[in-house]
Amino acid sequence: MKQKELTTVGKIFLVVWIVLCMLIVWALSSIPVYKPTIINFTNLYTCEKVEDQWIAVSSFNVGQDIYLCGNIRLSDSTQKKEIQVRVYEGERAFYKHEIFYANVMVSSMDKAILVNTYLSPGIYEIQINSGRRVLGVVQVEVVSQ
Amino acid sequence: MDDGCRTGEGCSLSQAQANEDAQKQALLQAEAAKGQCDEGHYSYCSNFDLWLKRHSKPVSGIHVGYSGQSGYGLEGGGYDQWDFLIDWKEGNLYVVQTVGAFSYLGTPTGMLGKIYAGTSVVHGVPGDVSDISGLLAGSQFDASAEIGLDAFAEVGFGKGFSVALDSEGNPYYTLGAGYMYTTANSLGFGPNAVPNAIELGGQLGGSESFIMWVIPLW
Repeated sequence: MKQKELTTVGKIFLVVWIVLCMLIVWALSSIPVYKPTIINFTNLYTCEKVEDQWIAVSSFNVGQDIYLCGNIRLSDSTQKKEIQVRVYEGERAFYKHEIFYANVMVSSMDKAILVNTYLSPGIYEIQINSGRRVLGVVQVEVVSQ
Repeated sequence: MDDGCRTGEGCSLSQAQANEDAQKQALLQAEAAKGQCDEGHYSYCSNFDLWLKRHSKPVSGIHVGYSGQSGYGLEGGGYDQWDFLIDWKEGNLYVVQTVGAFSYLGTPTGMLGKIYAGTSVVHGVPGDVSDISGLLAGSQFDASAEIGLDAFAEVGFGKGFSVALDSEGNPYYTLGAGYMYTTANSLGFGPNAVPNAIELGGQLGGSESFIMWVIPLW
């Protein structure tokens, strides 16, 4: 008796599931598959602008603007993409939380990104993310003037 | 009137004045910290400010999938799951395909093929990220448990828990939104080779998610 009830429940579940799948396939078949805009941020380094040139710098004075330079490439160069900038005190570790976080829109045309924060003297690591993908990490030192 | 100065000689500033100055200083510091917090310096934020700025936004939906496993008690298997997740804040539907592998420990199935469906809730998605496709795609660490009735065909209820990992393999964390993870409830059905009357087991494994469609709903 129990086995008969189980089979009936199973059949109902199977039919509902198949109908659900068919409905989903039918609804999605007309929609083009999502093509994500992939961002690559290679050769990441900290920099400053000197006479219209971006110069690599690894040590900054307190209060000085810190920029991140590198080759920013989007798979669709007409698009902009949101990336995340995180600053960690000292070295990053999975249990450490960032002290600064910002969402920044970037395009293939961008040469540098401003890390818009005030950092007191010390060693920091700056991490760039696109969603869960870590695009790059760079270390920076901030010294008192 | 008592001016609060109790040190006698050499006391140039009354205690009342000192208290007032300290209060003003504290207010100025709090104001400065609030400004720093507003600019994204989260070490200056109060817990309430952090929650306001970056609290997890609601992302949830349904899933369907199929899985297969074999072995006797200690078993191995794989699954293919499709999630239909709605970002309720932005009004976008994300169709996510997830494929994974797992180890199973529980009552023996011999060989089990199963289809399942259920609900999924994603926690820890930062409220200020508009396009969350980059957060939903990626790898996960999975854990789940299942209980069911089994008479050659099994009907079971399962609870799943997946921790989102970044590309370096660390749990994905955002200050204010917390760790990103997914909880799921599923109802599954499928034939297996070893009937146990009651099926009971747990799974541990890993998976990878891919965004298949992003559909604006409103």
